[in-house]
Amino acid sequence: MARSAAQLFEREYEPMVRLAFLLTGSSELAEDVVADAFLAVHERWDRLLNPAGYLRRSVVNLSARTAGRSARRRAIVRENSRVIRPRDSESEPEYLLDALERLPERQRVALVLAYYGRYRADEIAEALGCRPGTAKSLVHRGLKQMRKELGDA
Amino acid sequence: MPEPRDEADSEWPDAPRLTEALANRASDVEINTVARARVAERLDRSPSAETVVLIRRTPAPPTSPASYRRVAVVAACVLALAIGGAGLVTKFGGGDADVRLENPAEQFGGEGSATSVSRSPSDTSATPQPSSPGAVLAAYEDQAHCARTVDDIDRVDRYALEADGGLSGVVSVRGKFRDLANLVLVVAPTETESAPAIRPAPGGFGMVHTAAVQLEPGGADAALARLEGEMCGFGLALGSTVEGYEVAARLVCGSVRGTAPLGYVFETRAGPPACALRQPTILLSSGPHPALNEWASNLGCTGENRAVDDAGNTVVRFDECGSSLLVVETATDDPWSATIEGRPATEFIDLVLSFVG
Repeated sequence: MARSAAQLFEREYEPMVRLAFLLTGSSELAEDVVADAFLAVHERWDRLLNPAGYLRRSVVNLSARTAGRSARRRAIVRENSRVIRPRDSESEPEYLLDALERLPERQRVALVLAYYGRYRADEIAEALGCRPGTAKSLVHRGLKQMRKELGDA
Repeated sequence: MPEPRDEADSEWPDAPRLTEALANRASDVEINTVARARVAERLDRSPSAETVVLIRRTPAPPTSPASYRRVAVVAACVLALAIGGAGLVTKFGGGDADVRLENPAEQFGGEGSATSVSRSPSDTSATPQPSSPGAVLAAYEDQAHCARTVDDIDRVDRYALEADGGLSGVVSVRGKFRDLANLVLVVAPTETESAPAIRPAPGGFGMVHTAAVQLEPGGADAALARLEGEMCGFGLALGSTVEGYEVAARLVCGSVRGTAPLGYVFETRAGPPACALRQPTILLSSGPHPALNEWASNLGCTGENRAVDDAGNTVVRFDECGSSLLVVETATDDPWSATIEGRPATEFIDLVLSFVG
């Protein structure tokens, strides 16, 4: 456990930027999000029982606030990313990421946390501010939707 | 370190490939050492004491001399209005007034998420009197109305502007609007700058299209003219002049100008013209500055009234104001660390202009 905000910063800055990048799609936004999150932790350090958890939650929240609140943008992204292309080994990563991008926001975030961050359900729940059962459900439904998007269903 | 999600992985055979794809995508990010250092520097400072903005009317303090080398102005447009949720409640009463920011309802439940503005139904000061502090913020209701009509076009694009530390010119930034009408830009001072460039957020959105902009010696007008051909409905232009930096943001009600150090972030937001400048604006400043007065004047705000809150922040309101404007001159010289109700003011702001004296 980090004993100071500086220690937490050393350990978590880069992972958080990468996570925020996946959530926002922009490295600039990711940097801003993570900076804001660390400053929020810094301000509240003495009162936080779990600074790392608070940091994750802030990063997820701020990322969602920054990039995910526009229904129209999401719709455009979904529409534009709905490109039919052959699924082969070369295009596999983009194929999967495109499908992920088309998911509803919370499902997308849950899957990023689960499959990139390797978060457990309780950690996803903490980050999303929901119950673990809800987090599991989001992951489950996200996977189901992914299968559907990928034509595996 | 969380355990691998074996159970979930077995649930879906593509899971390992998704993990790999995400990891590869994430590894594309180059950690910006300048941005990282900037955050580290902030963390080195002691956390500022939380400030509850409790405004009490006091005699106006003497105007500070023009010795401020730098005044950072943060204009808080509370843009998350467009998103819904609980909100910011501002109420004033009698000679005393307080500004109370409720924790916003959050899409994901945690702190630091979307903020919207609403007036509490039980707020007995919901009907502001002319020239009262409440009048200053009366447009919250209007804005909330606007927000409800435009909740699907809320969008922030950020531009990182990095300037050569040795650049002697002036940067002018202007926003022009045709079909869209709400410019929010953030210009934050940078300690370490690199080559002049503005990096747009990837892609465009709706009618707002972004384009790479380079500083041009021809001045803002030339750059703007060029940009107007490249950007649909909205343009940011940068041009250089001399001595210091100039920021000009043209909003619907007129031009806003001030001098500023070269900043690093611009945010733009699109909204319908009808809602432009009805957006409540809170300026956080590290002190009085002529550029701020000019700006307020351009916004139609005159008849300055000053009050000092318990934390030593000076709150400035205006008897006449063409827009809903409240200025908070923070007790510290760092508006970035200002807090409102214990939360970083930057959580509530969308417009930051940094001025130099």
